[in-house]
Amino acid sequence: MAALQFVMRNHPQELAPAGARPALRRDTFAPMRAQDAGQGDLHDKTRAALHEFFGRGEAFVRQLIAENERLRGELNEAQPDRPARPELTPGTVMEGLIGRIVELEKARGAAAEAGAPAPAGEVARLRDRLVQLEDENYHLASMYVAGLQFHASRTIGDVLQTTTEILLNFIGVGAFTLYLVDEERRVLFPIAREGGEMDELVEIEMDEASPAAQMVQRGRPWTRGDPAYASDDVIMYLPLVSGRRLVAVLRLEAFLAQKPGFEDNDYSLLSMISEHAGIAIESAWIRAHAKAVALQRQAVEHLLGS
Amino acid sequence: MTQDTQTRRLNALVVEDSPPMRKMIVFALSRIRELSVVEADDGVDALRRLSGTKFDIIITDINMPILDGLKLVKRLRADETYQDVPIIIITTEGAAEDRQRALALGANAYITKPIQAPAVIKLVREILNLEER
Repeated sequence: MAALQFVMRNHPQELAPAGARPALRRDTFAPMRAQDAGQGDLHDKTRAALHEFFGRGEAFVRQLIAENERLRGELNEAQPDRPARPELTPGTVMEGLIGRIVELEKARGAAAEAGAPAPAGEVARLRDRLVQLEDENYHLASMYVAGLQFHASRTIGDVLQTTTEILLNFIGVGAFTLYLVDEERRVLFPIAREGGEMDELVEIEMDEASPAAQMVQRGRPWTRGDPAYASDDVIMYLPLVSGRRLVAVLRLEAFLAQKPGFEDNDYSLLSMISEHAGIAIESAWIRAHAKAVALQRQAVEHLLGS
Repeated sequence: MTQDTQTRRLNALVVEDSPPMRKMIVFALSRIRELSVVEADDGVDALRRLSGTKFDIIITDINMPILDGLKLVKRLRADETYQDVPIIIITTEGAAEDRQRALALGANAYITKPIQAPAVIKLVREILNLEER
């Protein structure tokens, strides 16, 4: 049986009705003819040898089939109660093979379908997801750039510049005032304004009821959910904090015309400004009052405790 | 995509004096894989860069020190090499007059601050006739 299957897999056309020329022989001979043109003698010999080879193979397969059927008959006689098995004839073998081919064709069709372009709904969903990811990506980049700019600030002027650019260009706040804290006099004093005149501004007392005093008490950078202290002409007061120290307050007064209000991503940028602008202002303040000292190995090692 | 853009990368010049703004525009443009982006700090720096490389698109802010965006557009349109190169200007919403002047001088399109990366990418792709990914 195993031998029969082997033969059939390799030469199924050997089981073709007598007299019909198997396709494989024609296919096999065709290229040989082309290659051997002009070598008639060799060609004839090769053809004769192949005819003989396949003829013997055909005879051998027919013997195997006959032997198989004889053995099956003997087995049925010896075990009459044996469950009947489908008779294996060249016809049933071919049907089986054709069935298998049909199955494989179906499987291939299904695989091709799986790799085919997604339906329109799926494409739209993926496109939306791509836009969402690009948006998140852009937001992360803006956070990175904003952080980088604050850390690169060396003077209070640098911090002001960076703060202005982030509020205007990244968030879309078109009018705002930066107040710094005068810790001795306990007032907020204006140092920069965008979208309005500086002359109109006055100092703000940090009395106990004021937003600034409450920000001092909170002692940490602003996060979403913290009070905005909004009023008719103020969107929010944003504390700028270094550690627990309140160093400045940003009063956001108006959005740019095309900006209807804060979006989700804006809150994390505001949080970043609250923390990093505060640190940058304090660093710039310390740097402004520091004495220039050359870097020295001994001093550095002393600082490191080594 | 045109035959030309399949065989070479396109060069874009971003002219913006604000470092964070410039970085964000460059970041947005970096999402277009066919583009190579060069940055310039202002109009004068832009002219320096333009003399060494042929750019396929220029994106410039209007308000810049020394040589502003309007003067840059004017200079570019007077230059045979850059007569037809697309120029996008960056403006603020309130600067309608600047926008009109830039368009009259030969700018092709404008984007307003705060910029939205998807809008910038879409506009540049449209202008350069690049297929959407």
